[in-house]
Amino acid sequence: MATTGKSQILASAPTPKEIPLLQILKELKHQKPVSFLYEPENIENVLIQTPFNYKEDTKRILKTILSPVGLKFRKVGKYNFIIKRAKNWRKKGHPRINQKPGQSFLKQKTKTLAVQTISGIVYSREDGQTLMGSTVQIKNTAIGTTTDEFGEYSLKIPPGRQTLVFSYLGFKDKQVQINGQPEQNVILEVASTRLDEVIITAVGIEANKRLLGYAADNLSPEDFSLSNAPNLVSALSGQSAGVWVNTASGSPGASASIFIRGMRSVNGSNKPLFILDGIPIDNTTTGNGTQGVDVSNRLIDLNRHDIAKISILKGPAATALYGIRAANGAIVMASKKGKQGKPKVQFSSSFGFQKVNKLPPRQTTYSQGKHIDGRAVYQGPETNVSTSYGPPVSELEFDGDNSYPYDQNGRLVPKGQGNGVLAKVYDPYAAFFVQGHSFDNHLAISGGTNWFNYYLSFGQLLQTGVVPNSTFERYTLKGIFDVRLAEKFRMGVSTTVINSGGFRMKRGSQFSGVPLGLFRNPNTFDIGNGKTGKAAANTPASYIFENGKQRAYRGNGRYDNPFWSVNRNPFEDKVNRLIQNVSLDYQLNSWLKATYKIGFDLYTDSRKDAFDINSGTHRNGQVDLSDIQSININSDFLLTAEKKLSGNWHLKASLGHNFFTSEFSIRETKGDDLKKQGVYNISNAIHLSTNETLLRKKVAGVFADVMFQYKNILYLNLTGRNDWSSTLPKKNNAFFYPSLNLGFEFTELLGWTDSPLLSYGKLRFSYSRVGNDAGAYLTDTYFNFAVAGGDALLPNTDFPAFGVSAFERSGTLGNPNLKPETVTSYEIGTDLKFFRGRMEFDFTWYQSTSQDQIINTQLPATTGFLLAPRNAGTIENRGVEIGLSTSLLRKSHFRWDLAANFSHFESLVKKLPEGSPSIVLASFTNLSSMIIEGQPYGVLVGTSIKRDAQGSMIIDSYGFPAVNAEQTVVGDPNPDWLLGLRNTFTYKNFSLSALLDIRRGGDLWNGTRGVMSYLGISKISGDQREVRNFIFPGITETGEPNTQAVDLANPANGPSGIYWQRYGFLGLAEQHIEDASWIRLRELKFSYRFHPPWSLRHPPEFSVSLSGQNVFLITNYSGIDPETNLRGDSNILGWDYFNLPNTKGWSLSLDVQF
Amino acid sequence: MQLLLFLALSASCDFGDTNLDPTRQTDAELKEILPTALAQTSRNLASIGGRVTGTVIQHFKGIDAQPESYSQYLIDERTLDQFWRTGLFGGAMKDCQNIIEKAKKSEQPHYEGIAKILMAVNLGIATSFWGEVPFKEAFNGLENLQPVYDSQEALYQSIQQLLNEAIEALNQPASNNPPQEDDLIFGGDATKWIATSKALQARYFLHLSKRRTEAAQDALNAIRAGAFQSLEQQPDFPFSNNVNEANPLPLYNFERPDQLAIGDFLHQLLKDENDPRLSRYAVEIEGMPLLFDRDASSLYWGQFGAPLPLISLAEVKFIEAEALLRLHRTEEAETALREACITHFQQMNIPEPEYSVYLENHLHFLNATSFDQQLELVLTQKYIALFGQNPIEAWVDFRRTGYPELQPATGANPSFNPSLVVPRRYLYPISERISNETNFNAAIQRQGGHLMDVNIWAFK
Repeated sequence: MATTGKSQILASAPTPKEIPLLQILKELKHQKPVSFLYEPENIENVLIQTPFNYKEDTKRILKTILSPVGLKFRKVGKYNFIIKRAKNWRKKGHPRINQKPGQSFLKQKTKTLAVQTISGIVYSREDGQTLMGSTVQIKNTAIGTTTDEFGEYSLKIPPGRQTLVFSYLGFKDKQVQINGQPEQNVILEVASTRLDEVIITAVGIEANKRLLGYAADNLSPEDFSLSNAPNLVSALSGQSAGVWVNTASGSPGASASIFIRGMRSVNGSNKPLFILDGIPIDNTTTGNGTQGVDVSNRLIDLNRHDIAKISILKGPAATALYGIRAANGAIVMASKKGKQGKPKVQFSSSFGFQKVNKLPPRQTTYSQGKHIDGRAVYQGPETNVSTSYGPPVSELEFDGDNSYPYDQNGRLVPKGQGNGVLAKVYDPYAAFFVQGHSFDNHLAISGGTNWFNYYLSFGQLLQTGVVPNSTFERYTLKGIFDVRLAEKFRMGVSTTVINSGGFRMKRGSQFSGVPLGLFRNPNTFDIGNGKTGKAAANTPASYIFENGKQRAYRGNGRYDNPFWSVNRNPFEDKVNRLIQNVSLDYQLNSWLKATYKIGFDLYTDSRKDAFDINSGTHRNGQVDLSDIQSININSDFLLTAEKKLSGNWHLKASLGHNFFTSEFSIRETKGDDLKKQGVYNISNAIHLSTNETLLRKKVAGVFADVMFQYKNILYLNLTGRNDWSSTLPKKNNAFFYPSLNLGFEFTELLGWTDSPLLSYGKLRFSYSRVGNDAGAYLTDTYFNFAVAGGDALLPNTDFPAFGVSAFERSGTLGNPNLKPETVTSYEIGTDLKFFRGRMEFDFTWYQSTSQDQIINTQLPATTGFLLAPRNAGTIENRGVEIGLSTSLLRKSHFRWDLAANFSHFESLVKKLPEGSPSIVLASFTNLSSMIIEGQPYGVLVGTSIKRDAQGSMIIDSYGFPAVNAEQTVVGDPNPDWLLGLRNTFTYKNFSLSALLDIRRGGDLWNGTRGVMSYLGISKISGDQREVRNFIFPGITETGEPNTQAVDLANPANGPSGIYWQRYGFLGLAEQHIEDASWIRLRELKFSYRFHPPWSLRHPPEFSVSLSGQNVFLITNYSGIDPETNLRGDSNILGWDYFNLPNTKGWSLSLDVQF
Repeated sequence: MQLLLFLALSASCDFGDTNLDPTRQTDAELKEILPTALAQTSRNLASIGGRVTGTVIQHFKGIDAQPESYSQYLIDERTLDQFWRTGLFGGAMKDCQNIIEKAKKSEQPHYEGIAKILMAVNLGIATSFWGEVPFKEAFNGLENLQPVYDSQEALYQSIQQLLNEAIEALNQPASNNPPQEDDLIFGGDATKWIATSKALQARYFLHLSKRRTEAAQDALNAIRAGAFQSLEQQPDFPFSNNVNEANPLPLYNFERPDQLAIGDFLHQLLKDENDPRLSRYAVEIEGMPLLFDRDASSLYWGQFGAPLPLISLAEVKFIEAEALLRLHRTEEAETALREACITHFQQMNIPEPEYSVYLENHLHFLNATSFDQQLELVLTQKYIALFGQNPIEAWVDFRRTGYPELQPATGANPSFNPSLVVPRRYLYPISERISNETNFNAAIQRQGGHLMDVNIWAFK
């Protein structure tokens, strides 16, 4: 036996004197495969006098030595021992107790007469294990404790207090009467986490989920805080079946789109309605064209730390209560509120950093240049040449001329003609991107008395992006007050003030876009002029010459040097927002309640979008100021009756009135032709033009909602609503729509509620019809301020111009006969609970048909009009949603939970108006997103390869694939299915949570690659450049198999012999359609909860967590992260054209509560 | 409960004028519409329609991005879609139609006349690009969502009819509220518009030189009946020296620099003959004869404010020369040719000493003895003169005469031009295929296809 000499001595000789307990435990651990758990304060300074032998059984040794010093132990598992203080240690008056001065025995005794101590153990029903960390609280007080690692608690009860509340995450609360007993052991039941939750369905109406006849999900802060995403919409990604989230990019403040159950409206919004505390919250996104910057969707203004709960109401069944704007589902949020008791302070702070997660691959072999006279010729920045079809960089060297402004090493010349210093391959990605940072702080104080509750919070979010100089900031101040004005009369006031905005980066199809200048940059040009990242961004010499012209790879900035763009093309937005609501609540009698609520959601968004003189876009400079103002006012009156009818029937009915008015205006002043470089003030512009738009709308509605409940078996919910909308012609402006929801709990009927296998089972059915109104001003034909256009590649001439003002008839033909559109939906589903709630499963199938859609149909321009809103078209939408949540493992302290959600949906365009079998949603030079009869929603249509009936490529007379004269459907951006998998591991105070996000199918157009190939900078155009004598498989125009061998980019064949240039600047759309499937670890969070070692009467609770976002991404997509979308939050999906990239990051958070 | 519901329902909601846009009007006056019709028509000559055509006819060479694709004959059904929709039919032509209807109703004949002239010019562009296009059934809104395509013969009749009616209307006395400063070209001067209309009649008569034996005589008659004869009367649209009001050609070259150079054929032609106009057309930068440089004040078509004529005096003179030549009045034709060229040099602000040598060496029929040689000389000179101001007419001339003898681009993409000829037409735009499919297909069938190597009726 190989043991140390020291332990030999210890083992052989009985201990004659005091040895520190810590040392004994250490030695035991050293000798045997055992481990000990203890609280250090209990072990430190404890000396052992009792003799023992190390060779003895560990259990025996512990028994011998611990008891005399007032400690006890417990064996957990085979080798683990937990050591803690004996319960009766103090009472026994062990000599080693340090009694506090003045705390005499007598006094203690007197006190126990008044203050009762109660103790006991908390167990889980499911596996009989004790529960550590469960909360024990005296009802309606702040007095409470938590159970220790053995599940034990001990609490002093002041006189008169009779009820204890036991709670534990994932278990149902349990209330226990004390009844004078000193010991109270409690068994907690596992909560049916997904079925018994309270779902907020409407204006102050909450319903137990089991009452609902339609699919709904609840998210707790743990769910939507997992990602630390500043944008609450992004935070919903992967959290619920049927919910589809796309983020525009990883730039700070970028918008995220959300769709529930896919898309069904052609021109209208497909976004769900967001409701906060009963008031609709504006989630408009203004911008996101093919140019511009990544703007925000306005839901970004909400601070997730202030949200207590989010209910996701899928399908239109809940629209009776919210009206037409909830036709695409509703996301109902409830704010945190103050609770009666001492002030509670919550503080949280997180710091994170982000990196670019994926970039389009580049070739690193060839230099800037062209094929001239049969050779690949280097053409430096001064030649303005855009392409990288020059010779290999390895064949070039510097000439050492340090007066050459484009490179400190001199200009590049063929090898042998310079100074022998070999040309460098610069990496623009490494030179450009920096680490992004985010800093998110939140402080909240809440509390209340029996007549007044309050919640106050302040939040601050600061973000810097991976693109130098990009930022986003948000400050939120919130106060919620609940006052009981009289016995039955309550008033609630909630105010949120938000200031947000940032410095955003140009992207997309513009010469000043950051990704454009960066991704197209050749290998031989150093964008940072010897510097990188922030240093290069802060050093003007990297991007500007002394004469004010640009230092860029195409001379003086045909494409902007990205460092120029981040400095000289500023875009700033400042949003000030006020969300204010007041509610009054009066309990008329025991069963009837009246509620009135009025809410304002107001914001201004002031934007300044500028281009300096000598920028690639607007080369004379431009400053564009636009002020967006949005006013939404919502008023609700609601009468709610709740009454037990005869026998087992229960009735709940609401009757309500709603009025909604909104005004949205943009006032824009554009100043062209700046006088002085670097001055971004509209007064610096010589030519001004202005523009003004105002959209306004009013909707009034009355509704009724009646719910019959028979025992816990049958739930029948009938709703009806009539709306009047200002956007429809007066004769058609009123419309009624009903819904029916039915829930049937067969387990209750069959008496299976205690069944160990299937204890809960509900079948649900829902039918609803929803009307919807039109956009504003579609009933009349207008004369707009005139514009001379007709050329997508040129800026328009806006009137007033040439000294006169002018108008012209709008291309949109007003329709005075519009009527409301309708969506009819059916939904069936089931919620099941197995193994005493250890596994829950729900399934939903739905189908909805939108009819009489108000579509801006495209007219032949020869009619004199371009568009006409018409009631026409049918889109059918169907899908399945599956939710599964289960505890895979529950051991005493260890828990493994799995939650999965699966969604599949299809939106099929069944019918379009006569004579217009397709509608263009948006189009770019060789690609468009379209609505086509018989196709899925928003398919991608573009240039494609000509094929015969068998699908073989037709090869043209030059030996290259021929192009179809007509554009065809080339891709479908809708995913086949989405799967979110959340694994959560909990061990004692530690927890590890991972959200795996899987998307299968759905196409993305990689226009970025198309152009990068044309320019010879994409990886593929480098890898395949030397390919010679390649025979494209296919047949010739005459039907013969193709035998013509071609070179893909042989300099001998000149510029027209380059395969990637044969199909134009963007290439063939079809060649750049890629599958956007992915598997990503969207979120990974490791957290630890603890009470600090110092002791306080109300010790604060700390939680520290480390979380990762986009930790890994597996995809075959060859560009940037396929989750990005150029068109951001819109109905147009699947575009990648010099989008800003996405990011991955880590953040560290601290939460404190006391 | 029912009572409340009933009350709410019976109180029908009246939202007043909430759904009327307070920032816009539902009608406009003639003088408010005319400026946009004029601006859009002028823009149509030199924006994408002119740019693509200039590349096809080799006035320009695309050396990067989209123009490089045009040079490779990658001009697909989307390239000119927006031009068709918001430049022509849903743009200037819609405005003209609007003015014509309103002017008739309010008896303001001068508005009617100007609008008809502009309509004719736009229709001329459309039919020369695509052959058959809808016109007789066009501009009827919802009443006719699928206008039938007219034959090219009918379209040329419509063009002449419009121009005739314009002259008639402009000959009437002015109304109380005639066009004034809203007429950005002539400030309401009806006689100048009449002279323009006659010049345009000559242009569109001559378009049919392959189809009608009377074409030359008709063209000559129109000119002699009062087409304008001085640069002061030339219908120039006054572009201005800023981005919003700029001539579309320099604006494009400014916004998207280094994409367009002067075409190789034209470049060689000007260089070989030491033509002083080369310095007005192109500037050599890094060995590339570009159409634009911010600092090159010598470039005529490099200035934002370069005025653009609906039809230039030089073109009128060239039409006259060709007509006379075709009528075998050779001497008069030679005189007209010289006048045409002198007019163009003057238009380009080239002083006499600079062009006198060129004039003596080239602009006569000394070395051009046969009709074909003489025709080639006239049309080659016209080709040079139309640079920058009307490549669309240069393309028409090439297709009906074969001059100058351009070679198709080498290594071009045959997808939309299988026989790889200098294009004979453009593909119909995608929006027509989508929204007027039946008539679109019928028109293609009647014309034997719509790829770029298919000849259209007028130029067969």
